[in-house]
Amino acid sequence: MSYEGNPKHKEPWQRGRRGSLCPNEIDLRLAMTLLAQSEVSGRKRYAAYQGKAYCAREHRDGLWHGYPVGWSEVPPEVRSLLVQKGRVTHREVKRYWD
Amino acid sequence: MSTRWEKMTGDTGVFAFKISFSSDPDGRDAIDPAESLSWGGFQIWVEGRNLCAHLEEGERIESVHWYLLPFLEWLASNWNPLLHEERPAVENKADCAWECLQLTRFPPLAVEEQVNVAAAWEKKWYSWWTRHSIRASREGGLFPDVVLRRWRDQIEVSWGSVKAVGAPEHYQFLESERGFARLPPKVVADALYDVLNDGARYLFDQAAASPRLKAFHAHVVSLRSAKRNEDQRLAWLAGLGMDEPSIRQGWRRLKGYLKEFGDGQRASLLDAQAGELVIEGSCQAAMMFGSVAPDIRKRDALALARYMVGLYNPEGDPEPLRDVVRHELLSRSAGPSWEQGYALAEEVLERFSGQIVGDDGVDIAGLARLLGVKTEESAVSDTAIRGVSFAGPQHRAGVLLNMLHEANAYPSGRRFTLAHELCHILFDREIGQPVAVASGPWAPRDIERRANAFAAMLLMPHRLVREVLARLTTRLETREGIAQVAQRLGASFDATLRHLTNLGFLDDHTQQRIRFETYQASIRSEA
Repeated sequence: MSYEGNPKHKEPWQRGRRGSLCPNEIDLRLAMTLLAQSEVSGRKRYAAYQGKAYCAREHRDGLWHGYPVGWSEVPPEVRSLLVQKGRVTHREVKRYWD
Repeated sequence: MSTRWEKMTGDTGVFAFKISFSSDPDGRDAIDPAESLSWGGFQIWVEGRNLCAHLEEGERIESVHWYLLPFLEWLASNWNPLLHEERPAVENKADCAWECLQLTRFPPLAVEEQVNVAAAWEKKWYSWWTRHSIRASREGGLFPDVVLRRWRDQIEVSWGSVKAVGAPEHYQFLESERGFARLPPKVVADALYDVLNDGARYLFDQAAASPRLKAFHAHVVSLRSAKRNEDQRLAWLAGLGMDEPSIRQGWRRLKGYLKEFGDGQRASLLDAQAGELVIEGSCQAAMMFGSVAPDIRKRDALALARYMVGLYNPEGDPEPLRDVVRHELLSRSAGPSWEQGYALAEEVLERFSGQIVGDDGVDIAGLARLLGVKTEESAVSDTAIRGVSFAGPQHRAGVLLNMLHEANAYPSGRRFTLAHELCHILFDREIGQPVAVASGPWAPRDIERRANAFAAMLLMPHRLVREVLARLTTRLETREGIAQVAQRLGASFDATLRHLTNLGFLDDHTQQRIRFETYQASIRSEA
């Protein structure tokens, strides 16, 4: 399982060509760490970092890319698991819901 | 980015859908090749508003740009619930689905610590949101917050402006106020499908060897079949469950209950106006059970079914009713919420006052008789259901009063229930068209609010109120004064207090004081 970033989630902004942006501080090493720690649900993986949720999808065999999502987009059983493991708090889930 | 293909269908003044495909600006970097092929933009138009128009760095952009395949696959996968499921996820908290989702997104604090209850709440909410919110298909894109669902015999599109995680500050959708529209099912389904189908065909033609695009295209084609999809669509309309398997099971169970009836009677309940893409006119059984609790007991389901069958009459509405019935669109004015219900009641009073208004109040049972509406008292164990209204092309119009509802223990409560249900029968349908509403917490809130206002004005017409006030033996601004008015008009204390305030005979402060005094008196009497 390796990480390969998608340019559409990276700065700089380009009109009509970008989506949910990853913060600049998430470099390849951190993205790899989050992917390794992530919880699987169906064909996606989810991780928490500084209270926010991140989703990763496999775009080619063994290659994944990720982007920030709201906690509303994370399946509730995965949210509960991440809370149980202490990776995010209920308060953060509510704060970064959308 | 040059556009390779685009299609728009519909009337932007009502509902329109547009998608376009263009070259992926980043080539095929870090993306599934089929998704890269689907890079493009989309627009959703509702009543002249483009819900996708947004600002990026101060520039207005009409389309949302992203990989469209996941969104289009989501549309196809959720086609039936999107256009047929009405009942909200956990509680019926608001008029439109977008607002309801916002208000119920977290379990209440009282529930949060009951782990299993909270988990069930979250699961239901997520499951419903996944089926109805366009954002559930965004897969990393920046989509508008738009929700589609069924609303009685219409499709409701609702929206609001909540900034998505990952969106930069300068990215803002232009429809910043929350809103909703209710549109004819065929109009929405035709526009969505036409674009979806042609888009699926185009993508498939670009890469016919892609198993994903082949499956997607086949799925879209399969949606266009009334025969194949009708039963599943009816199951979503009735909504007797929380997800697809439980909803199908609930529908099978309900149809099983109906087996005790003859073919003609059963068909009168189950027949629906099914188009190829969407059920346009609801079948009455699905309509009725769509407004009861999703976990309705067998006994209640049978009682309601027997009640509906008991009204079976191939002639439909009786003559006097046909002259009055019409479909009155809910008012979207910014005025008071009771205004439209009052106006409709005044219209009925104008027509029938000579026959039903006397010195001792309004003869509401007499009005039902005049209109040919059959009234029946019965016991439904779901005590949240106060009354049921039912009418249609093959049924005599009827109102059922649930005698287990606490308000119906009193004559004033029963009068109010009957008046409320008459509003549904008179104004929530076209002539000869069906209506089936179980008035309770799962019925649409805005038509319930209008029916409550209608009932208040019908039972307490302005002229009668003035006459009663002129004969009062005490001051109006007291508990005793309100009680006298309520007794003379045959209405409840609470409804009278609210109505007198709406009419301007009391101000809000006085209303609150009387409520507080009533509450204190009830505590004293309990002690």
